[in-house]
Amino acid sequence: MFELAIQTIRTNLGRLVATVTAIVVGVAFLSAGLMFTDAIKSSLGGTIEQRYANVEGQVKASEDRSGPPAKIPSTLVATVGAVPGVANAVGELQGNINVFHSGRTKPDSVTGRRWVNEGGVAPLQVVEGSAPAEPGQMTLDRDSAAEFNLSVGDSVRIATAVGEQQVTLVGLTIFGPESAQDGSGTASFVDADAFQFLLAGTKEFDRILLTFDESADPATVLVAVRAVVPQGVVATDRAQFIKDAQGGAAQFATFLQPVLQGFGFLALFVCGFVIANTFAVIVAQRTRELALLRAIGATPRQVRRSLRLEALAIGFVSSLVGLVIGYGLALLTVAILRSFDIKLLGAGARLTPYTALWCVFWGTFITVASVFLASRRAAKVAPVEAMRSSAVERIPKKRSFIWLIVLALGGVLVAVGGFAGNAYLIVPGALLFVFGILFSAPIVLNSLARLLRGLFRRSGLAMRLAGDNIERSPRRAASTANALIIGVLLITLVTTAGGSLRTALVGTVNDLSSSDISVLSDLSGIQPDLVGQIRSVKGVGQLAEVRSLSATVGGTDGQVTSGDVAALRGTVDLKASQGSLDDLGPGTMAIVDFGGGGRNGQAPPALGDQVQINAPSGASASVRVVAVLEFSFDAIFLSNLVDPATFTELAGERPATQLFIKVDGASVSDVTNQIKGLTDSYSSVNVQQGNFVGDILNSVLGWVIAGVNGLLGMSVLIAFIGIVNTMTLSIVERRRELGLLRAVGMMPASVRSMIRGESLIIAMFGTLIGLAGGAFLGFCLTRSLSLANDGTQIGFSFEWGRLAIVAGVGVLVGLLAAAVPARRASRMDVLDALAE
Amino acid sequence: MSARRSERYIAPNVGWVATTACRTPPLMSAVAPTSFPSAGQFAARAYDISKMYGTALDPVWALANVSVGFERARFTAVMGPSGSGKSTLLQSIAGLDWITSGRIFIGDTEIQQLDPTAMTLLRRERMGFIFQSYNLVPALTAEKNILLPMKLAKRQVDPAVFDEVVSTLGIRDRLSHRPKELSGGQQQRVAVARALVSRPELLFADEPTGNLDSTTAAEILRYLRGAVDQHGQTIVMVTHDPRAAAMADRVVFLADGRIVGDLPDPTVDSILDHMLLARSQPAGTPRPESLPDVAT
Repeated sequence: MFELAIQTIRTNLGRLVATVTAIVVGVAFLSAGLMFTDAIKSSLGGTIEQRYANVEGQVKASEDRSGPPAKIPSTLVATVGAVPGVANAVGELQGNINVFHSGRTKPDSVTGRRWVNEGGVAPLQVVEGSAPAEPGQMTLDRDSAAEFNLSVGDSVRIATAVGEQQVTLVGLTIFGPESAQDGSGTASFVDADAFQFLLAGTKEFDRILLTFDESADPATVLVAVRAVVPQGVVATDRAQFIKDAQGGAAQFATFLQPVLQGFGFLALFVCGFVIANTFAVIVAQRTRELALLRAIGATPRQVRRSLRLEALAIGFVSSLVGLVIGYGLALLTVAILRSFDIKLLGAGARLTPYTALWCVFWGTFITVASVFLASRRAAKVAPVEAMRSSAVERIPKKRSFIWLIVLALGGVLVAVGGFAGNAYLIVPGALLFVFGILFSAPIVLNSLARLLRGLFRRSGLAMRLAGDNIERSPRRAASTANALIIGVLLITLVTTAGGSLRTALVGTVNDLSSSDISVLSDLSGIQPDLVGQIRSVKGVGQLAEVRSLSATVGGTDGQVTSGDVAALRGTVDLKASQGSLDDLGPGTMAIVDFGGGGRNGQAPPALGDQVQINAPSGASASVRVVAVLEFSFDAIFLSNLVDPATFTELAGERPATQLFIKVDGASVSDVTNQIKGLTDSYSSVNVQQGNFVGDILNSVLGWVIAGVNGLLGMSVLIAFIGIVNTMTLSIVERRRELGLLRAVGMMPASVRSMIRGESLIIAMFGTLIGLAGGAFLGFCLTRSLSLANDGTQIGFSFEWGRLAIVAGVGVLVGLLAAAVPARRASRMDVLDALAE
Repeated sequence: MSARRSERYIAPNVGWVATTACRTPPLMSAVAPTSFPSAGQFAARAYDISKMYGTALDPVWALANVSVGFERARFTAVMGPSGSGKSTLLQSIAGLDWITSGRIFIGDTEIQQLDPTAMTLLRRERMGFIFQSYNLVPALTAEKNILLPMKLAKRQVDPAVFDEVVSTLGIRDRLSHRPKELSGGQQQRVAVARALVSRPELLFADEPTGNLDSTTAAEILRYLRGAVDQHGQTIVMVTHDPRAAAMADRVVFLADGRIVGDLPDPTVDSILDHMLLARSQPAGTPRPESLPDVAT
């Protein structure tokens, strides 16, 4: 039986091209997502384990706070180093610097690090030149140096937290088998430079690495370390350190993986339609062969099994090919990301046995499952068919009507859910609705074909025949269209509902920000002379400087900020919901109402409360809450606002970390650009136009919608393959008929337009139903969310432009898909076709 | 040739009378006998079988109350004009097609009692088929096609039988070719080889020579004749070619779904005579007395 299956596949390869392509694309997509994210997830894991082999724990700032990740004072190294059992305490510091090089006008960003080689901890190795030994010297990872066209001994211009600097490249480094320790590249400096360039002089570390005495028990030592670190600082074990060291990329990949897999499975699901369709056609074409098998002694079970074996073999082989293509696809993704200057640490393709098994299993499973119906039908072929010409496809009308009812029921549920604001009705309703559409498609398509035939009456024989052909095999046409319906419906849903949500969210967010321009930096701050330069830019009206400090406020880790109240009022729209900012003076504080119940189960302070503030340096102050500010995006940066005097008491003299600017008599974007020109030399400073959160949200959501649609486009691609497939198979099947039409005088051009007509009807049917269904679901979903989200009205934005593009693509798919089959049909040899 | 056949054909037709010509609506007169004789010398028997297409209001009878038996180790031809129901009769008796009423026995097994799988098992154990065209699975070589029924039945092929069949049919050098690479006559020889290699008791052939030139057709028929004479197999062959039918031991004539004649020891001339006679009679008129009573 297996031999028969294999031989049948070998002789019918042409008919299976679409099936194979569909599975290959689906599996490639599924596996590429896995391999790509696996590569990032496991990135550097092994290298970090190896290069930090003797690190047993770390001390770092608690992450349980708002604002940028906090640093810890360098003095803590001595404190934890003195704990019994701790052999060495090594400070690590990293930050962003920009390297200017001849290759580009804009500098390239790399991660600057404090050079670490002490107490047995030496993550980086020098492969050429030497380690940085004194200020003004820098090492760079081997690949970045090559990329920037720099060699040892070169003088390099870099942008740092304190502006542009000139350093000498003294050595090239590697990190185990990798070149750089960080995604964008790694540069290292001696302590003095590191503090200066990365933190503008503040002596702080990101974390302190700990090695323990050999005889000490790590757990016991960690407990001892925890006892000596101040509040807001935590000590963790080695496992947490490794996780932290892998960084955000790994977490991002962990989040991304199920998302990509979801789309992969959607693609495979759509593949299922193509496969089911192909095999339905194949079974119809092979009726006589199958009947012959039955007549000479194959049991129904053997016939069923031979088809499933065929599917198994095709699914398995195609999945393997898909896996290989997927590997390439993952590498291609990396290359594309790189061309957009997005460097992900460890980006690449990593094929685990799990991924291989998982993808091959699903690819094969979907194929075999999709052949289920066709193989059942094949088993039912009566042996007597071997002696008859093939019969006409019958539509089971009753069952189609049941699905029409399901469709209507789903539609009503969704509509009721939408208008009553009940999202719980929408999900089951939408499922019923979609399955109703998919399963009632034959009957709808049948009626449509009849309707179109009326319309086409005047447009010539070819179009009329096209309509007739659809009517003759509505089920096959419908399942071809279904693949397209799924894709278009989801794209429309995401575009309309997503677009509506985006507009609503961005509107809400824009209401929350009020300054024209904000200048942000990390904790290293904005240098005073830079502030001066910005202040003198033409068009800058009011300017408020905000300083911030990581500290413990009322027992909770957080930020303390400070700024001139008058200047703040001039730039930011601050409203106090309780108390007044006028009362802010020495010994008092204003807090922001974030809503909700505070963090760590601790209630936020209330108006009039006395709150204790502890700075990491040990300084402390007790302040009274005199104002509660309403929430806004600007206010987030002004949480725990104290007066400048109190702040200086706690933190000493510090540069501002944020500037709010009100523009006066100039265009905001002009001023923004001018300020950007000034801050280019500072690696740690960012300039944003006032509504930047809204802008970011807008573009992020735009990207998300575009990205999701791009991924959904994969299913449209597979649907396209499906249409080509159906048209090709149907002309192979109708060779005699087409030959006859030609013989009685139909012109090749008419044959072509007949095939095109059929393909267009299928494509337009799929596109229109998908558009209508998606828009309906999107509308109801948006409405229900709008009602559920008390107050905020979410207007439904039907994005005509985009949806017109979708409709255009649908028509194009129909025309393109018909191209090759139509040519084949019109070039067919008449005598040959008739002789069959 | 005729003489040789006569020798084998000694026993007078005893037993059960096979044919009724029924002009009343078959369903009403379909009173099946209450007891059936055992298989006896018959490899296959049909009692009062009818097959209806269309609706109850507008019935089309493909077979109308046909009873017929096919003796073991004999070669029976079934003839009749297009649409007379000859292929339907063959297919029904072979269990390939359903019937509306009546009973069919293969040996002692009543096939209406069997589910599709059991029917298939019976078919592959005891029957072989040759069709007019499309006899072979296009994906498989000639050899694989010949062995396919044995493979399906998970039976071992007897290499001696295989060798004998292949050399008799002269297709040894064609074994590794696919059907597409074979001529029509070669394809049909492969089909015959497939039907013969498992030595089935009963061989059904539906116009096996319909698409072949006369020389090739004659060869194929000689092989079939040989199967009956040398191995005692039973063959039922539908044909409209008097020359083909003349190779048989007996010809059963059908018209309008009814048996209208039964001719033992046919010759081309006697067949043509019979056909002319049948044609001169309007359909449905009583059979002339001059025709021998069709009995087996």
